[in-house]
Amino acid sequence: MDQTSHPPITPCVALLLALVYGCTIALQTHMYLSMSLILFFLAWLKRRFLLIIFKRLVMLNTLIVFIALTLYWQHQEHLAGLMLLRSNLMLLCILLLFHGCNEFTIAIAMQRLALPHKITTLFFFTSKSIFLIRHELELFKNTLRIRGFTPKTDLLSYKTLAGFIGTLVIKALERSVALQKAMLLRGFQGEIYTLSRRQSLSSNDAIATLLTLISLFWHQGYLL
Amino acid sequence: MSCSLTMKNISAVRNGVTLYTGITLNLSHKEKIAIIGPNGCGKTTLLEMIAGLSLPQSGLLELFHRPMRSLDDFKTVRTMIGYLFQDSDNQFLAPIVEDDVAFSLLAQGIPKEEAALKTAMMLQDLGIAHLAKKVVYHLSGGEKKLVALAGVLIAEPKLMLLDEPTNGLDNAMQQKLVSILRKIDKSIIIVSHHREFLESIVDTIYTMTPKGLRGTFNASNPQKYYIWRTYDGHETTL
Repeated sequence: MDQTSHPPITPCVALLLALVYGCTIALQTHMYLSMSLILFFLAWLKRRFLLIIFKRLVMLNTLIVFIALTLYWQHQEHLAGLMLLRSNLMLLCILLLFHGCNEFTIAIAMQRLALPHKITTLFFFTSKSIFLIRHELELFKNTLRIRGFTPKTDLLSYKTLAGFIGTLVIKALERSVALQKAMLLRGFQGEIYTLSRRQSLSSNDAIATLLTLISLFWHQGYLL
Repeated sequence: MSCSLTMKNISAVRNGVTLYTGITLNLSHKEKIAIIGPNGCGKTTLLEMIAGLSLPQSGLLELFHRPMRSLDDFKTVRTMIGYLFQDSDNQFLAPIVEDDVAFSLLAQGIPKEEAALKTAMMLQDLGIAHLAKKVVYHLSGGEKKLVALAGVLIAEPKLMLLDEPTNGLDNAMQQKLVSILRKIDKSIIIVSHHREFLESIVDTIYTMTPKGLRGTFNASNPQKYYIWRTYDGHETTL
């Protein structure tokens, strides 16, 4: 992906909005319908990908629903509902804001927001490692397919999968050693740098910021 | 002619196994050589020793007339050495092409404007200016190699160590790499299996065998010079 190609919301703004919306929603003790105002706007911007985004939300809800049910059975109905609503609002906002952005775009946004070097560097190298491990995973899956492997509930399948996990760990270790070598050779001093100038903001950014503020501070339509 | 690198009776051990003993090598200023040999014979280990990533088991290693006895000694010559990794993915330290190429300059404290200008010129020289804003991990193997090479070249090292630079490159990309490397006026050591590629770039090809024998081969005039050296540094013209 070209770094300069514009997502509907500028990644720097998306990061800030996610932070402000997430933190404010997490601290709410009562939920209002108006809090979802920004979500409608983001959903409209990402209308072509709504199905994928909702599928992800459902998957992420597996654990949340389990915790909410546990609270419900402990007769803490209000807390259960509050947790379910709050976490879903936050998740949906993050999914809508960052759908289509890759990990590197977020790292660049963090860099542009002048977040502490350690956080940005750590995030970048973690995303780099995840990207490379995912690549290894794809290679391994292809190898299994080409060599006619069909997973079953037998010893061979378990051994193959265990071997794969072991290989991934070894490769991750090798990558970390190679990364350390690259840092040494290229004069790394705990910081990654950027030459790019700050991106100009779009009208979507302004509307999203305004709607986020309205969502958070204009309380209408009591839910819980 | 000043000497970029001197190695005398160098030996190396990997995982408890002696790879070679008595490696002797002199690299003159702006000389281009290659090292070939079977897999696992220690070619990359040799490059890593020269780059100061590991130390030899025994022997003398001098870089730019300075003896390198500990890894700390390499700090003074670090900026004079450029290392191109076998796997370019391991080399990248920034997500965007131009940021990664400029990395060494910015790490040395060179102002952003100057670094940006030099980066643009370097990308232009290598014919990859159109990649400047791309994410490095989304490039093809050949493009990644050129970006990694740009990142090495921009720091203007005096000695370049290239580990399997043709790995995964198609013929067109190899030719491009040949034309770039031919123009570079620096000391270069290339490790590769690709003899044809090497012969079009380097002055001398050394062969490293598991037994440690190595020969030199004058690529420009193969009939005239064919020298084998033994561990003790003796040269025999065949």
